[in-house]
Amino acid sequence: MQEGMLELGIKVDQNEKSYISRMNYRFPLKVMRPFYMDDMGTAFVYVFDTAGGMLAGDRADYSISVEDCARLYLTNASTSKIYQMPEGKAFINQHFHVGENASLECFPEAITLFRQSELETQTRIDVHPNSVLAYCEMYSSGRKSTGESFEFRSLSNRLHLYIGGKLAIWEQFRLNMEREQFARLGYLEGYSHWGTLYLYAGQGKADIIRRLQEYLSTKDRLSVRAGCSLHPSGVITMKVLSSNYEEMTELFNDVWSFMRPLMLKGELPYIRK
Amino acid sequence: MQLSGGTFPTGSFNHSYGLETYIQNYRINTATEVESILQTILEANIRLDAVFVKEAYEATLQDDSARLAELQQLYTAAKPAKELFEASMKTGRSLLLGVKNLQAGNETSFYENLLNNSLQYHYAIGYGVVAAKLSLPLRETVQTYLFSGMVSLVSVATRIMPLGQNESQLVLYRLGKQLENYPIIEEEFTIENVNSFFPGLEIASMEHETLYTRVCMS
Repeated sequence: MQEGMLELGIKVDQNEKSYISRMNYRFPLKVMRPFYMDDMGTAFVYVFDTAGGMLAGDRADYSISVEDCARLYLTNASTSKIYQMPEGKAFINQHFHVGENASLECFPEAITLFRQSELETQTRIDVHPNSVLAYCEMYSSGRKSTGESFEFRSLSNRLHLYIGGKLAIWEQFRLNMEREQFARLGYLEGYSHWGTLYLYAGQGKADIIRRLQEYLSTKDRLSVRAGCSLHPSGVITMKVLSSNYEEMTELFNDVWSFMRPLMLKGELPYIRK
Repeated sequence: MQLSGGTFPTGSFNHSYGLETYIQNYRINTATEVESILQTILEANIRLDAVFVKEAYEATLQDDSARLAELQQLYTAAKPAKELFEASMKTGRSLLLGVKNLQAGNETSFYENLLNNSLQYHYAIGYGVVAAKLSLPLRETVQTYLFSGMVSLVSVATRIMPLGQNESQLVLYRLGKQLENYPIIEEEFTIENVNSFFPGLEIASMEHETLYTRVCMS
């Protein structure tokens, strides 16, 4: 049983360069030294799960704090694999804090749910009203190349996004349905992957939803279904269904490349994987 | 019965909750397909809305306005799609206003200090409050909430796609039977058990915002 843990504190120095001010980790989680790939001093940090995946009883606890005026882009090197487990489940707990005039861009690869796997995830994001957030999460229903699809036992997910201490977005689900139900209209409609992107850039940025809607309407949507909307809290939610993982990640990356200059005043550099 | 009847002025006939997107994109063409999407909407209402109906009902019985405000915030946070949020708020306020008008002869204010003056509450919460104030039984409250939602959507479907009266009644009959057989265990209708996983419906509602022509508001 592995109890992985990663605590990161990100601060900004006098040259407006963000750096890791505090780091504490426990096997199998590790991070690389930050890369600097834009002209805003954003720390681009890669997280590694050196165990390769999770088994029953495994935990991964993340506590990431981006202090005032600091900037962090967080990603990982490969998909998170939840391996077959005859009983029990794996747990992922995440807490993100984003300070005033700070930004957090969190774009991990998908979580892949193997046959007979069970996963429980909890995410809490605390965002200052004057900050920028781009938080993405993606799921894959199994190893598509082996024909595995919706054979996991259960997935439960809770996400709370607070802005200025007030609950803005709450998502909660437990999936232990039959494959036929997943395929029905209104659910996953035959798609094998799904993902959500939450965007927040402070209040009074309502006009950017129209830009995003126009941008989405230009994208080819043969194997992807996507929609976006602006919540009264100021959070833009984009939901995607896809039958192709690469197309889904490409769409999220394209959208963030388009939105980043509008929300952060900076181009998205090429993220090497 | 008057509350859940189709004539109560909540404006629900203006809302398709994403159904219009499916129809306009030719993803729904037949009565069977209408029934399939309505079954999903019914399940969504059972796993999310019904919990809030019950919680609001109980908060009203306990005269707990703080709990109602908390439920309102929680439900708002569970509706990231703008039109789903707005539809719920508009119909909720209309319901509360409509009932308040019916009770206008009472000496005391019908809602007393339970609700804010603007009556800006989601439909599920408003329904729970009204039912408790009128001393309706909880089980029937939940059932009528769920069934009236289906009645409204079947009525919308007959307006915006070629669906005959007999076909639509058959769809409604079968959905009603499903609802009848659905085990409504009140103890399990808790916030802890809420399930808001309906990405297809949410995307349909998001897409509805940019449909070229629209008959419905959501």
